[in-house]
Amino acid sequence: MIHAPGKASHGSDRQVVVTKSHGTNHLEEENRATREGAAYAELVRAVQAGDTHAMETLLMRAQEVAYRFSLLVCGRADDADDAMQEALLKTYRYAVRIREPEAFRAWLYRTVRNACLIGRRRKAHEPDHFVSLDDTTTDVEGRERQVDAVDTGRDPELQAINSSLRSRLRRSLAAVPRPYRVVVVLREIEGLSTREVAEVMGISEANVKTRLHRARLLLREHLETS
Amino acid sequence: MKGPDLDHDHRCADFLERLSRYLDDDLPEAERSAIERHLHDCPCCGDVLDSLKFTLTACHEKGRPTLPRDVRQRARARVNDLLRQVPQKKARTR
Repeated sequence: MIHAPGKASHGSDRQVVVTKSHGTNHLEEENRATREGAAYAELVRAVQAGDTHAMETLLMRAQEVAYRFSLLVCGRADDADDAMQEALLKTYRYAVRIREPEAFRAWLYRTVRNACLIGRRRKAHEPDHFVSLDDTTTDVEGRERQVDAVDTGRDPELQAINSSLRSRLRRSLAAVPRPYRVVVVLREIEGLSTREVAEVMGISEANVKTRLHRARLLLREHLETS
Repeated sequence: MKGPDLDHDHRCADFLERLSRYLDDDLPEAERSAIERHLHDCPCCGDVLDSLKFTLTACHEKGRPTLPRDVRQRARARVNDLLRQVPQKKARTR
């Protein structure tokens, strides 16, 4: 045997998380990506038809994307506000004039990625500061808050296991080198298609597949040992 | 004494190389069948496959952080401010 498969048993969290058969079947994933891309396109068309409620929804989604990308990829959660502001303004300007609404989602992620990279260059001397799920910060009114919403299920044991798994997942992602981390976040967490990831990153689909393969194995390794 | 099974090791390396494409159902039928035969004989590679499935399912089901309440409130306030500043007609321009 030439590879170390890691711990054979994952304890009870594996039982909790794996609630369905694995969803990375190529066609299934591409279909999911197509559906989500189509939902964005639908919103953009509504915006272009003058629907202000659709504009509000799109602007909120753009900021949510920017927040998640800052947190998961750039490791600058404290800078997320800058990326959210950038995503908000650019989405507002672009949504009304984009000719191909189907291309909006890839454009949004590319914009957010660029905003994060620019913010990163500004603070190149500072190390990444990944926010753990265990971290609490204080909001403007002095209340403590956590990065992720607490599970709403009733079983406290299940909540604790889920929270621990999220925390391990976040730490494991942070340990994956950035060029691989970006690809695995876009593909596996944000649900973009291979083609969309290629557009966002400005690389070929073949290159996306190669990086994704490496990224998945690295993430598995870190999650096993975390 | 029997030496290391180099052929088996080669198949493990081959499996790892194709693992992503196997999961994505992105392999020709012959390669897929060869991997499934290897998985039948190699519990270690079976464990790797299981743990990778676990990792990816964790990403799909637990990977997306939600916005904390104060961040969401600031996001909502920015949207409201922006739409208030811009005349309604402009927002309707194509």
